[in-house]
Amino acid sequence: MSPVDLRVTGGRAYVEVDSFAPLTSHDPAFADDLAAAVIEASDHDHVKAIVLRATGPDFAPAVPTGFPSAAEAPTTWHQAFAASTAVYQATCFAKKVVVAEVHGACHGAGSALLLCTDLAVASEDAEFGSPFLDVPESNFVLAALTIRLNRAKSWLLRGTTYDAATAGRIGLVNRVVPAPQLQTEVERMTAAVLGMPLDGVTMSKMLQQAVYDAHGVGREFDLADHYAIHRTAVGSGHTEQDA
Amino acid sequence: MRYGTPESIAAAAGQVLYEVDAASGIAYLTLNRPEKHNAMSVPMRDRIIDLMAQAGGDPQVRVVVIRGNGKSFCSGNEINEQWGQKRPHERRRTLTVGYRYGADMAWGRLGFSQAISRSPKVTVAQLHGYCAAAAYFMIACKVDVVTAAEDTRIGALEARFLGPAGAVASVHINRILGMKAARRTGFTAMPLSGTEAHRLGLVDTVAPAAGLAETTHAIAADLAARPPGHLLYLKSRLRAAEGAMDTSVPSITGLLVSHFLQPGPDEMDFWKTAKEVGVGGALDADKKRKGAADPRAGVKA
Repeated sequence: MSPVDLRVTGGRAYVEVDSFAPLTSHDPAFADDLAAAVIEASDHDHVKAIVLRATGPDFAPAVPTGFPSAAEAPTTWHQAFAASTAVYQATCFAKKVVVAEVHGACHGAGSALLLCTDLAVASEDAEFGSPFLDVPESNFVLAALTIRLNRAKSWLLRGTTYDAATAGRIGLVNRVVPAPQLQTEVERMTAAVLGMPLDGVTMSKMLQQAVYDAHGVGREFDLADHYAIHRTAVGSGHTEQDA
Repeated sequence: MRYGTPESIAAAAGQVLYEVDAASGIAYLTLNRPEKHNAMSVPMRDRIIDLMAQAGGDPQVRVVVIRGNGKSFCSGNEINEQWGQKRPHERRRTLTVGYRYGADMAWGRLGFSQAISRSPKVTVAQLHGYCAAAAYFMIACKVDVVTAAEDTRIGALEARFLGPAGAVASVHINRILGMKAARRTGFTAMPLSGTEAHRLGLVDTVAPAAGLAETTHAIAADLAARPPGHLLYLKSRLRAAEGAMDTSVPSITGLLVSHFLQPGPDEMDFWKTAKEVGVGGALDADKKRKGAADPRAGVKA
C-alpha cells in the first residue's frame, strides 16, 4: 500500500501522508508517489484546490536527510534526487491551488514544500525550520518572494526555527489558528477557492508560472543539482548535528 | 590606479579599523571617522575592499561584523573629495563621470559592493545613529544579517539632492523592503527607524542602543559556531540564488549611474528658459549652444 493517499471530494483533493519526512530522507518511492498524487489531483477536471495534509503528529518532523552520495552512486544518486525534485516542481507549478495544512513540526522537506504551495494554514503549535541546509531542492527565490529577501537570508544562514505566530507575522503562512480549528479553517479557505471559476483558477496558475519564471524561481530549481553536489562536497550530507 | 589625495590615502588606515577575535571566529571591521558620521572616502572604501578580501581568505574568520564608531554607523560616501573626476571637488556632471562612479561602487574598478555581497564569509551590519545613502543600499542592503538600534535612522537620505532612482528602482531593495516602502524611501527620503526596518524585513534583530553590541555579538557568535563547511555551502547557495533572482550586484549598476547623473549648466539653463518662454522657445535658445543637437531637426511644424 502506498504511503500517499489521494482522495477527491467535491472540488477538493486531499493528498494525505503520515508525514512528509520521507521526502527529507530522499526516499525515492515516497517521492514518486507524492509527485504522482499531486499531478493526478492537478489534472483532475473537477478539482480546484489540493490540500497537503499529514495525518500523524507532525507535518514533517526533523529527520536525517539520508541524502545519497554522488560519489558512491553517481547514476542512482541522480535518479533519487530527480524524484524529490519532481515533487517540488509538481507542487509549485500545479494547475490548481495548493494549500498546506501544517501542524506540529515542519522541518526539512516540509518547509521546502510549504514554499511551493499557494496558501498555508498553520495551527498554533506549528514550528517551521529552515530547509536550506538539508534540502538542496528547497527554493530560496520562493522564500525571498514569500517572506522578503533579508528574512529569507537570515532563515537560511541562522537556521532559525520560526514559531507559528512569527510565521504568520512575516507571511510564511496565511492563517494561524488553534489546533482543533485547523481543518475547519482549511475547509473555509478552500471553499473560497471552490467559488472561483475553474478556468479562471487554471489560467491564473499559468500566469503565475510566468511571474515565477521572471523572478528566477525556475532558474533556482535548475540549480538544485548544483547545490546537492556542493552540499556533499563541503558537508556530511546529513543533518548538522551529525556533521 | 587608486584615487584620493596623499592625505586621504594616509588617513584611511585609521578610519577603517580591523580586528579578529580568533576565539569566536568573528572579524570586526569598524568605521572610525566619527567627526563625519563615518562618511566613506574612496581610500576608505579601498581599505574595506582589502579587508574584506583579507577576511575572506582567513580560515579563522567565519563572520565579518561591520560597525561604526561614534554617533552613527555611516552617513554614506564622502562627496567632497577627489576621486578621478576631471574637475576635482565638483559634483558629477556627465555620464562618463557618473559611470565611473557607478562602476567604482558596483562592480568595475574597485567593486566596493561586491567585496561585501560576494564575501565567502557571513556578513553582519550593526546599525546605529544614521545609516544613510551608500551605507544603506551598499552595506545594510548587501550584508547577510542586519542588526539595528531601535532609534537608528536608515534610508536614502541623499535622494533629496541626488534623486531617488537608486532607492526606488534597485531590485534588491524592493525585495528586501517591499515596493511601497522602497518607493517611500526614495521619493520622500524619509528615514526608517530601526524598529520600522525590522517590521519591514530589512533588519533581522532590533535592540535598545545600549544592548546592540552585545546582541550583535551573540548573533555573530552563533553563526560562527556553525560548521564552516555548512556556512560555505549556504553562502554559495545564497550567491547563486541571488544571481537567479537578479538581486546581485550588476543589476543595480545602471541605476547607480543614473542616480549620480547631474544636470549640467546647459540643461539647467534649458529648464530655466523653458519656464520663461515655454519649451519651444527654450529649444530655439538651446540651438545656439555650441555643439548642441537640434531635437526638432527634421520635424515639420
